[in-house]
Amino acid sequence: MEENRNTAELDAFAKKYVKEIHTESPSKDFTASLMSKIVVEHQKSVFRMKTLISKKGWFVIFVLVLALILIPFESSEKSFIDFSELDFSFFSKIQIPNLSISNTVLYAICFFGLSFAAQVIFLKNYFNKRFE
Amino acid sequence: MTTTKDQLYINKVIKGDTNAFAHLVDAYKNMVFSLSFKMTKSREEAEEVSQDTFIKAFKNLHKFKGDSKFSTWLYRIAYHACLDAIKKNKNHNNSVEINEIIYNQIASIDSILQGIERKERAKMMNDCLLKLPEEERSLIWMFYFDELSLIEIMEVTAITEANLKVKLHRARKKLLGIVKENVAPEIISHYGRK
Repeated sequence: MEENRNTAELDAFAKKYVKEIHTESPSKDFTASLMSKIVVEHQKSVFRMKTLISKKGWFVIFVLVLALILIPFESSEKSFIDFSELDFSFFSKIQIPNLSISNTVLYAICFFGLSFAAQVIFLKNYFNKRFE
Repeated sequence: MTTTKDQLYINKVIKGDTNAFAHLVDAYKNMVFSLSFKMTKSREEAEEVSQDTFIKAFKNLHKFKGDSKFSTWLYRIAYHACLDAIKKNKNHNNSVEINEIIYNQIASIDSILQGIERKERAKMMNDCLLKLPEEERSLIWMFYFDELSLIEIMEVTAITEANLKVKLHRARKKLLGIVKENVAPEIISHYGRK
């Protein structure tokens, strides 16, 4: 009982004096600077880059391809592609000319390939950041 | 501002009228900024947190379903943005030792406060409030200044009702203790006069 009375008294005290505290106002250009940020934000959402094939899309394609390959093996019916009937003999007919490449050229090609791959990654990140 | 008016602007913004958002900003910037300032205790930080709050609100406006008041929804974003800012800035040290409160002193503290000029009293109360730990400070501010109901505070802070009541009570007691320490010299002279 006593505790309740005390709580009520304390409550009244806080109500009376906290309400007297002034609100704070932000700087004068708050709304203007905020709205300029909002506009940028809005444009970003309008022009957001979308990948041509989304992750979901890739997943569906993957599943479809997998199904096309696997289902014929599982089912007894004749499949679209019967690997045993395919004639692979043309492989042996292909004559690869005997090229001799020096080690230096090989290293150069490898290095070129590596640099190219690095550039692809670098450029992709660069453009992603630019359009973010 | 009425909720229907808010809803009107919200609908406009969702339909692509970005400028309509400025009305919402003007209507609630003081509320958001005051809470941020009370919680972070720094004007610069409060300004930054307030801007972040509104940007976040803008981005997620389509998620606002109108189940609660727009102000409560915004309040929740602001509150959590403040907590994040405080967490980032660990130098907010606010552990105040509060001595035992003697309830029968409420009346004498009250009469001393009455003797102080209103403007000065408001400043003093503000200083006392800022001495409270962040969470208690924000709860006092929400409950007594912005007059949010317990249910609304629960929605904003995700604190359970029983816990909230305990925290509020503790916060009130601490606030009174801080005020008492601030006006202690006057209390002695007050008793002396009796």
